[in-house]
This record gives sequence, structure tokens and C-alpha cells, in this order.
Amino acid sequence: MEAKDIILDSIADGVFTVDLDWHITSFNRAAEKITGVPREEAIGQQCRDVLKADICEKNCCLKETLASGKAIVNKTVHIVNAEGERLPISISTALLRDDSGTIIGAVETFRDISIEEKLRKTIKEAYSFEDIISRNHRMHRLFGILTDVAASMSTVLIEGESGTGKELFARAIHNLSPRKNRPFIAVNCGALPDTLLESELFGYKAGAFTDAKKDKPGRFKLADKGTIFLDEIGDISPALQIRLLRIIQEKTYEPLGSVETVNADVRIIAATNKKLADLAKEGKFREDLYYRINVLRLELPPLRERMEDIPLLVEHFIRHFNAMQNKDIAGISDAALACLMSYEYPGNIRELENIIERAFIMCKSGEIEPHHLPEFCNTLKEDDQHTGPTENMSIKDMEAIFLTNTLRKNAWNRTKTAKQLGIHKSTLFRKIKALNIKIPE
Amino acid sequence: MRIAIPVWGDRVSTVFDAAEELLIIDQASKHSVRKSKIPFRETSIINKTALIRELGIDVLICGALTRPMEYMIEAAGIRVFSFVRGEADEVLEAFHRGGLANQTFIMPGCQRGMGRGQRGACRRGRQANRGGRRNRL
Repeated sequence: MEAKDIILDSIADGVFTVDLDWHITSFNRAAEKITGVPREEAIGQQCRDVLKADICEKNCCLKETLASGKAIVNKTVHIVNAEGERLPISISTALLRDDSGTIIGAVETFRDISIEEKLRKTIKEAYSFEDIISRNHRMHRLFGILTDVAASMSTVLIEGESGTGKELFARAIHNLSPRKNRPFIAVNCGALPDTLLESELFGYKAGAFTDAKKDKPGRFKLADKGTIFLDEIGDISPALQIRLLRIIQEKTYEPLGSVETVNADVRIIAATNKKLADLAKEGKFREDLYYRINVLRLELPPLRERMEDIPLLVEHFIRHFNAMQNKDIAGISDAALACLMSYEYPGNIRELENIIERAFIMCKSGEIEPHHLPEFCNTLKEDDQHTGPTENMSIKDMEAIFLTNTLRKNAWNRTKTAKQLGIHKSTLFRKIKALNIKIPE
Repeated sequence: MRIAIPVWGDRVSTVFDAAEELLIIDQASKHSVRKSKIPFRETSIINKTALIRELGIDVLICGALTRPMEYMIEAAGIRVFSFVRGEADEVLEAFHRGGLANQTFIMPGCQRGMGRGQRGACRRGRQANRGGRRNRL
């Protein structure tokens, strides 16, 4: 290995050089790690095919540097690595000259800024639909209508068990909507006592009650021209239900202690982990308010009904905790994944996230193994002993079990099974053949 | 069969998300081919995917594609060949003769197995078009 290669490999940033025809002439170790492309495959290739950045064709930084002679410093772009992940990177470019000063190419250095982007997203809570990870057909149906839901100004009701990602969906709708540059205000209606919730939502005037020394704007005011997310809407009192009904119907409200009516230009997204229709039938929730809220209804499936997402979600959380905790956990073993696939997750995705977070404490390096998981994950149900995943199984085996079980539940009817799984019949046929699943005559 | 290729000029667009045009190939028989290009500048990826579905595409051949997108498109019953590079016409011809697994058309990083945890999602799409399997009409 040449001295320059050793020097380049010791740099934490990705570095590659190109000749005047955009062929890669050197490619350091960090570049291999970030792009997932081995050096021997990268050398001699067109840089766009290796970097796979969203700017390669339209706004290539190397091209700009070669044309203008000016270096570019810390421009943020996105690449797709060999794992199929979209990564934000910060790139800088400069010209390469030989001893006589003739331009012979250019150099690009780049840094993975996933951690910074994760932190920014966490702080700004700027989540988009791309942050919702799923290959489940019911989720994809929801993705399909998300743009239309976002574009509409109607009230949205999101129903789903705790931990299914209702707030993430609400934020994704807001960030896709014309209101995306205005505030998104989340309020957990179940977390506050009724009187406090009322003043939180509508605000108060000075003197409205003891200790109300000065005016305080409510959440509706803070969400002006934006979106308010009312979580656990099923928990609010009948008195507050009337006030909410008025704000939805008339788009006006009065802060506590005020005689002035305030206009509310706010889009409401409500969420509940209860069946609001049932509460309305039982008289615990006003029917008129229910019909006002239930204009666009999205029902998020619990994790146990989208088990095919578990490997994806586990990978996502491993990447997330690796970045946030500066660790280098390689992944999860097939046996540990089989354990996770055998659990029902009453706490849904939040519970899975907590399980992986716990595994990060127990696992110092290498892969997450079954003994890094909580005891209850390692306990297979009796029924699963024959048809569920067991240790030493590959993901392919688990997919075969999952498909066989679904086929069996549908009396081996492939059309029904494909429909339930949300995949095309021909895709199911291909999988049955590839996984060598025997269909009874 | 209706095939879609997100393109940049005459080439397969390097990244699906960044493609500005969609080349659509309607092929009723070997000699009956109709090609058209439509704008593909939909700002969000979700809109791009929705468009692919609405157009009744059977096969999508594209450049680098993120896994969530690939799953979403596959879930609509569309066969996806991702991480493909080259001139659109040559890529199409290779697809019909089952030659997309040829190194000429595979993006770097997708050409051979890597270590565990770096298995290269981009290799997935190769499997179905390997070994000279022809994609007949």
C-alpha cells in the first residue's frame, strides 16, 4: 500500500479523487464504510455510480469545482448507500493539480452527518412519512392517502393502540401539509386535569383566577395557522367536549376570563387509543363532537398485526442507538430476531424500542443475542412450538413460517392470502416457490 | 407489459428520488413497443410512488432506491430492479434477455457479497434477473 493510501485510510472522513472523466482514482476506507462500496469496486468507476447522491446529475459539486476552480465547503446532500439507506453527508470539494500546476482532477471529502440530522429531527421534531418504517400493506394504504389527507384542511382522527406511532403520523401529516412552516403543537389531553387542560388549550387573561398575574396564550393560540395535535382525546371531560365542539364548528373560542372572542385558524388532528365510536355509543363522548372529529379517520395497526416490520424496525433502532450512544453494535443474531418475532408487543413499537435500548445496555459489542433480551421475549408460546420461529432460524425460514401460517389461516387460498398480505398474487406465487412452501392438494 | 425507468437524459437516473423524467415502455409484443416520457418531478417520494402505482406499471427498473421505497413499490405488486445503471435502451434490452445481473448494469457495491451487516440491500434486485432468465412478454 502506498504512503498516500495509508494516510487517506487514517482519515475519519470519506475521501475520493476523480480524473477529468469522473473516474474514481482513489477511495479511502471511510468512503468504503459510508457508501458500503468496497474500494476495489469503486476504483475506475464513474463517481456518480459509487456515491449515488441526489445531486450527481443536476448539481454535481465536483463538476462545479472543475468548471469554476472554486472549492465547495460543507454542502449537505443525501446519498443512498449499498444497504439501501438514505444518508445525509456533508461534502467538500477541491481541484487536484500535478507538479506543473495542470488540473488533473478533483477531490471530494465527505462526512456522514446522520447523527446531526437525527438530533436536529429530534429537537425540531421534523418527522416525515419517510421516518415511518413499514412494509405492511395496511400501512402502505395509509401512506397512499397521506398526501391527500395532508392537503385537506379537515379534522383528522387517528386511532391506534399506545405506541403505534400516532404522533409520528400526525407530524408527518403536518409536515406534508401547506401548514408545514407554521407550528405543530401537541397536547396530551389525558395527562392534565380538566381545569388545567382548559387553561392550557385556550389560555387565560390576567385575573381570570388566583395566581393568573398576566395573560397566557393557550395552545390554540400558539398553533395559530398551524396544527394542534390532541392526543388521548377520548379522555376529555363532557364540559371540555362542548368547548372543543364550538371551536371546531365556529372556529372561535374565548380564553378563560376573557369576554373577547378569538378566531382559531388551526387544523386539528385528534388521536385516541380507545374506540371513539364505542365511547360515543356508551354516552361517554358527545356524538356530535365525534362526527365533527371523525372526518378523516386513520387506523394504525398494532405491531402484532405487522410482524413483518419487526426486522426493519429492529435494524432502524440499532442504527439509531448506535448513532445516539456512539456504539458499534453489528446487528442482531437470527436467534435473537426469532425471539423478538415470537412476542406480541402489547406496548407496540415503543415497547420494541425499549427492548432494543435495554439490549444496548446488556450487549457491549458484536450482535444482540437472545440473552441480551428480556426474559419474556425468550418465552415462546406453546402454540408456536411447532409453527413459530425457533433458534438457529434464518430470516428466510421465518418468512416461510409467516407465509405458511397466513396461508393456513386462509385455508390455503392464495388469492385471499395475497389480499390479506397486501401483495400481488404473482409476488406471493414467487415467494411460495422460492421458499419451497408445500400447498396441500 | 408496462415498464418504467426513471431517467436522466438517456440514462437510468442514478437515484430514484432525484429522477426528473419517467420513461414508460408499453410492450404488447416483441415488435410492438411504444415509448413515452412523462415528467417525474413530484417533490415528495410518496407522490412519486403513488404515480408509479397509478400508471399501472408492472416492472420498475431504476437506480439507487431506498429500502422503504422498494418495499412500498413491491407491495403494490410491481417487480423492482433497483441499483441499475446504464443507457436506458441497453438496460431495457438486457432486462428482456435476463441480463441485468451483468456487471455493466450493476452499480458498484452491489456486485458481490459483503460481510455480515453489510450485505448490500442493492443485491436483492439482482436475484430475479440472474442466470440469463429471459423476461418474455
